[in-house]
Amino acid sequence: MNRLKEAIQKLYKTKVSELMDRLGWDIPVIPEDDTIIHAIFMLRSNNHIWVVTNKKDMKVVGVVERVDALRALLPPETLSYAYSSTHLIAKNVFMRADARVGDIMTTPVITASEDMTLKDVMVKMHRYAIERLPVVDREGKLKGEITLKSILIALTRGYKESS
Amino acid sequence: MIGSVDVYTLVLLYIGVALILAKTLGSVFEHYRLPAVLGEIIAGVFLGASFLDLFYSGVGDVFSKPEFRYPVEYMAHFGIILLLFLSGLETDVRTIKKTGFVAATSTVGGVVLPFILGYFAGVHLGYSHQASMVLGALLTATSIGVTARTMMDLGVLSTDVGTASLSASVMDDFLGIIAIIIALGATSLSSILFLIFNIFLLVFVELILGWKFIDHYVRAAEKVKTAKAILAFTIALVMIFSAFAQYTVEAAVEGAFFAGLVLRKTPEARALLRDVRALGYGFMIPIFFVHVGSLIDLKVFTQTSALYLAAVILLIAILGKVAGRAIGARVGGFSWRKSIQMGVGSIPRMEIALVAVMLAIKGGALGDPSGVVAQRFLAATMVFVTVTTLITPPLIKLAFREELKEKGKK
Repeated sequence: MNRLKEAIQKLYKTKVSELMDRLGWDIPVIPEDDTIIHAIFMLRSNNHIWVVTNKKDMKVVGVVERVDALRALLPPETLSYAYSSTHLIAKNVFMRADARVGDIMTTPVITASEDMTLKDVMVKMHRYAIERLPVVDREGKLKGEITLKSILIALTRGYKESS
Repeated sequence: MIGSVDVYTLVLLYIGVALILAKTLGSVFEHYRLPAVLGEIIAGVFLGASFLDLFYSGVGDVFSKPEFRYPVEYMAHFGIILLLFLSGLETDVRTIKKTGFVAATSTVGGVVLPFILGYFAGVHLGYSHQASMVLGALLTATSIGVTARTMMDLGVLSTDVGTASLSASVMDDFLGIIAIIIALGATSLSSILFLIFNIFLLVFVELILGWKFIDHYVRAAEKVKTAKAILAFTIALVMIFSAFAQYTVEAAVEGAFFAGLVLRKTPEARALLRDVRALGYGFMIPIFFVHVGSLIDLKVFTQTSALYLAAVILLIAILGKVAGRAIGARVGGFSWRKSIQMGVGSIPRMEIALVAVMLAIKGGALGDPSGVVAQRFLAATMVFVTVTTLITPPLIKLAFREELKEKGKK
């Protein structure tokens, strides 16, 4: 048990910059004015896609997860219009044939910065029940991502090394 | 005490029955492709003193006891506040900015014309200046749900008329909510200058300063490490904004709406949307709609003056909106045909009208809350929200008959 505690303590102090996945071909990114079908193609092999203003500025404006796509694809008669929910209408492809990624994404997103500790990241992840955060600089530009999966992998690695 | 049951026990029982009946009737209405809100209001009519008195006289006396009335009224009031807060939280200011030109001109036309017509109709019928303002404000905001659903069923939602209608709906709600301030705050013409000053003060403090400092507020809330602290801080902000709006423009709901608009900017508050929705849609907001229904005095429908008012409001609600939107859309560059189609799509009113009439009654803008004028307005509002909702689907079908014929040929 002490070994595990030690490994966790060490992990807490690690900075995001040491563990984050840096922006590269393997981090899924899509501009907000791209088509929904393109996002769906990407979601076949990604759990999520970071939505950015455009590929030049790379400012993060939202995220599309598989559940966001699911909401857009639901039969419209199952959506409830209890209280004038225009937002639901705008997020469904049957309601809005011209809908773009920016219309179906979840926005804004909770972000992390490179100098945060993993302890803070883990508290954030738990508090808002999310498994991954985009890492952004001061201007909100996407630098990479930090995921719960990579945190758990780092923990097991630290645990093994300590033996 | 009533018999052997005390009033507080009765309140709990009443709220329980109200929620079950509201959601059940709501789902029946949704099944027939009508807004669930209508079902919730009808649930309220069944639970109102006026209806229950037919079976057990004396219910009215119990329901009007302060121990019963105040808690129920308060919950209904929180329901309105949460409804407007959620509506602000779900309003993307960016989509308002992106509102197309035709959508914008038609929205403005569709808000301004019914407001003016409503005001003059009120004055003409002999109501006070403020009651007439309320009448105008009642008629402004469209409820897009039924229109969107009908247009989708007919396969015309993705035409330029459908897109413009959806695009217009966000701005329309926004203007309707602003119209409530004017109705409640402008007690006399001389107070209008004072009201304008207060509106600026409210907008400056809540929207401009709020927008600037909201991130700091959420950061501070994040430092409080106890369970659901951020949710508590969020609701606290809604209450404080509402209080300030009540103080400046006598309309607490504006504060709730602005709090939503400002909080939407922060990702943390967005993540709380689920919690707030659960509290609102699952509890407080249905109580509000039941409460509205329960206040209706069914005897009012036997008075000719009430029916006359309802008929006039209904007429202006339909003609004012269709004409206002159509003229606006025509100015924006649509053909007359498309302009009329847009106008027809904007006929239904629902949530904002009910909120406006309720606030006007409670705020004393319509005289004694259980008095003649208040009752007439309430009944007339019920009639016009119901009728506008029911007639819209067939009217849309009629307005699009050429398009539908061509579709049939293909």
